[in-house]
Amino acid sequence: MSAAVALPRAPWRGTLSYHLQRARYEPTVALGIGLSVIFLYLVIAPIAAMLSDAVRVQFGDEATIRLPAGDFTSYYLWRAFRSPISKLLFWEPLLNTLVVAVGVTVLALALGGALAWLVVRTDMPGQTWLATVLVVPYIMPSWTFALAWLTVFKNRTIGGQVGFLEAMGFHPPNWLAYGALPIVVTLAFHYFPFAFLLFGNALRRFDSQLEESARILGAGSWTTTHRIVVPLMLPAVMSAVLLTFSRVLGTFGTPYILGLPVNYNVLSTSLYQSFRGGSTGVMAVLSAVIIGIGIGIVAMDTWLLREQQRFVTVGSKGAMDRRTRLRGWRIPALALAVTAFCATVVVPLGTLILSTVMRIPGRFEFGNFTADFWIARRLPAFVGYPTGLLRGPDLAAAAWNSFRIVGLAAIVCGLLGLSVGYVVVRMHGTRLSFFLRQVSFLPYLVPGIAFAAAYLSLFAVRRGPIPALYGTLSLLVLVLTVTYLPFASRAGIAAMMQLGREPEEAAQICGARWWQRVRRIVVPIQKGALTTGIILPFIAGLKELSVVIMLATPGTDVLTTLSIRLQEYGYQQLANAAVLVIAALAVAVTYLAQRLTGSSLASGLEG
Amino acid sequence: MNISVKRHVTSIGAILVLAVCGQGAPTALTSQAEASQAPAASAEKFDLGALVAAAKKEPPLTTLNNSGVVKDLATNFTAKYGIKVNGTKADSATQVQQVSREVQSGNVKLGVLSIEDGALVEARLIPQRFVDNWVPPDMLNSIPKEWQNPLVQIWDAKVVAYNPEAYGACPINNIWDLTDPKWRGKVALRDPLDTPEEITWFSWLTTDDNARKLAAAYQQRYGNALQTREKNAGYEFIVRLAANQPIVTKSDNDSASSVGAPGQKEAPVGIMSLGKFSEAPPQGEKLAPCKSIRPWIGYAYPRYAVIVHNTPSPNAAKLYVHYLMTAEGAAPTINQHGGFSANLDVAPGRNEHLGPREFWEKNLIFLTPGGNDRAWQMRERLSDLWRLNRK
Repeated sequence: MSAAVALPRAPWRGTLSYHLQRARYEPTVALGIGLSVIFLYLVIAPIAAMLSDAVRVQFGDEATIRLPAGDFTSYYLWRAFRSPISKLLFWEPLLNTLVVAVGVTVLALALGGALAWLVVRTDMPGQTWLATVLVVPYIMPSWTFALAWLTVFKNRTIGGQVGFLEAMGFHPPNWLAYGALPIVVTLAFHYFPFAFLLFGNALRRFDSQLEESARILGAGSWTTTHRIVVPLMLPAVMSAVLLTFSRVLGTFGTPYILGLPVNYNVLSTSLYQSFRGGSTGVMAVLSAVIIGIGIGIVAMDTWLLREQQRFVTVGSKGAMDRRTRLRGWRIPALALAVTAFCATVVVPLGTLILSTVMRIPGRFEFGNFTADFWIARRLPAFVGYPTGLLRGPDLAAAAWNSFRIVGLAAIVCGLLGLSVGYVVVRMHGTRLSFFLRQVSFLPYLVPGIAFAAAYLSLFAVRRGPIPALYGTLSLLVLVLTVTYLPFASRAGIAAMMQLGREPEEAAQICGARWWQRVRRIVVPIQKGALTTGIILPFIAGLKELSVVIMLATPGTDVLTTLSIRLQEYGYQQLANAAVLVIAALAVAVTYLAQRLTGSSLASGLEG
Repeated sequence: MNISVKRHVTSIGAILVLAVCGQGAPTALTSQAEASQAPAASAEKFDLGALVAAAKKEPPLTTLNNSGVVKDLATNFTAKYGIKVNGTKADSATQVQQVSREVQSGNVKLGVLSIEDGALVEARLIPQRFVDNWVPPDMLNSIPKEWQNPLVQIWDAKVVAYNPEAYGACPINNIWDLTDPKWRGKVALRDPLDTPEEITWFSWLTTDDNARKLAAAYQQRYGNALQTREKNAGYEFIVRLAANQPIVTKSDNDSASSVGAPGQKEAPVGIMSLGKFSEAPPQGEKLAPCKSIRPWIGYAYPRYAVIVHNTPSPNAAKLYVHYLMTAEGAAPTINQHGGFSANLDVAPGRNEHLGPREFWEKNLIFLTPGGNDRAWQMRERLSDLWRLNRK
């Protein structure tokens, strides 16, 4: 039955005003488009700039390539993939990177997962305390553990002051002191809190009624675990794998300290060597490869999490939280957790503190101890940094720079992250949502160093309305914001995923506008996620090295570049002291933030 | 939702066009780069007073220096002229990055670079107009012509060092000892890939003249002629040094700690700068230079002084360069550990670890600016050679 009545066409003014009206109540689309445009420029344009560098002749190489600067060339591709030196530039670093990344991910997930289960789902004593302190390893700069490792295990192979063991007469073998093993162990110690937090939150939100229903229906505990718990933990596991693997892919500080001395190169250190040596073309090629690997990981993650509704565990129903009783295993479990704490927090920090008060390492004699490296008025041998760390102007200036740059970046980042989460989840299924989600993760997979290089080239000169930002703090703020966007987006999306539409719709029915709904429903519920979205970038930024090492200039140092500079000049005690200062600041900031917002770090990072 | 997707596609296109259009040649200035000109010094009458007066009106000067003496230089300069100077220690790669970025972005803050990578200065910085060369007109005759472009401020040296507590006298008397199995794993030096003057030194080893001397030294050490598949004895030396498992360090401080740590029975030897001989004793390290190795005990390398293009304080920059070329500018370095100013009117320093100029000229290879071109062209090849032969 089709009466073909031609409906009158609405006047375009009417259509437009209708859409504007709708937009006022549901501005998600407009918000989504705005975010997309901004991220496109900030994320894709630098990458495009970098890729273009990989195939164009760079200034200074005209003689070698015999083409004028700016012309297209495959020289850098040949050099990185097929030349005699390609094995050292690319293939070996690639293999080493994968080995390290897989090793760290496995170790970190095992450690983090086991501890999370113990802390969240059992009745082990000391849980609240452990939940706080087991996050500390992540709060410290990633190369703290590398420095501590060297302080103990460094042998004579690479010069400089030796470690404690070598000074006391033992000779640690090279495979123990440098290379793959120390890198994997130290990075696992640094990254296991990711898994710990993610699993802990997922387990905490997990409704034990689900398990109990399975038991009532006759399932044994193994069946319950592998058919109920593990599948529902899948988002947490995937998040943890993704975060850990990709951070390790791009990590620079630890392999630089522990690998480079014995020529154990990973992609990020090879990239840094190319940057320092001025081989911009090869650096761009290496960055392109790392981005490629990262995109592969993102694709895998998307494919695995394509059905997001399955993972809602906070909806309109109540939940229960019953703990497993350990009985006789309570004390051994506590011992295990405390050992983990000691190994990852007490021992590294203690070692570093010891090293900063000893003139010659490894000599436990009374005359060898000194507070000079902290408070001396003048250290004549340390040309260029001739005072104790706490005395000189360098530390204060660097700290001030760190705080204002990172603070601003963190706030912007947190707000953007929650907005992204809102748009992505509320518009799930649309191309905009998919696109926004991918673009906001992209920076995560570009190693800090390469991203910084791309930003250098993109913002080095004025392009249209966008000014040249080199030498300004805005560039650092911008790069840090974009670098940590994935953190905040991930937290925002995961948090919004667990908040069903019902509360907002209830408010809408009651007549609330969009802004009211966001302000009074979404933000309070997501307070934890918003705080996490600001604090995690802040802490991460405080201890960030890879991104800033190419952008910070001497004289505008931040805390992390100051520490590495001291390390590079061989002022070992001062470098260790600087790292301790950063760790102390990060821990203090975390503690303060937790007290102020009343939420714990752990509760915001869900997934 | 279709409207948003369409808008999407248009904006993607717009952004990408913007981004790609913004890519021109790798540097915006190459189209304007001219061939480097003769030093911008003329025979005009040089008025120091007018320069000081003009400099006082400008913003504070920022300078980078490979050496930590920059802090003392800044303090002394400010005390003398009342003009504020911010001096920071920075290695060559950092200086180059910073100056290129600043000039390209139009946001110049730097004033003077005291930089040791002469090859890069000549091959990239000057042609691309990132820095300008300026010789103080009143010193045109006291600075040798071949040290004026780029302007050499001071000559420093890196020599082989040993641990006098472990060995009474220097255990090495021929440079080929560094490649001998007896010293496998016991030679410390900074990473050539990160140390421009070291890789420049490599390029000097491969000149015909020096290669001949190396071949003769080999003959003297081992009694037979050198057999090599490489082009000459210089390349062979580099190959063997790389293969001898050297202790590759990030800084001369690390090399010094490695060689000079007390209580070692079989201490390594190492190549390091003269400054370490002054800095080591307060830290309890034992170091002394080797003074008789055939054919050379090390190499002498220059620190250049160039002015950043479009600096906000051009007159202060010139005054600072002038100051560097005087006795006071050289004093912090040559009084601490030796070396000599490129300005031959300046007397030698109080604390000289090696010896007078004649000693330097007899026992060190001088990395003069004339060899910078060749050093630059060979840089990648020599870096590769080093990396491929490291065991």
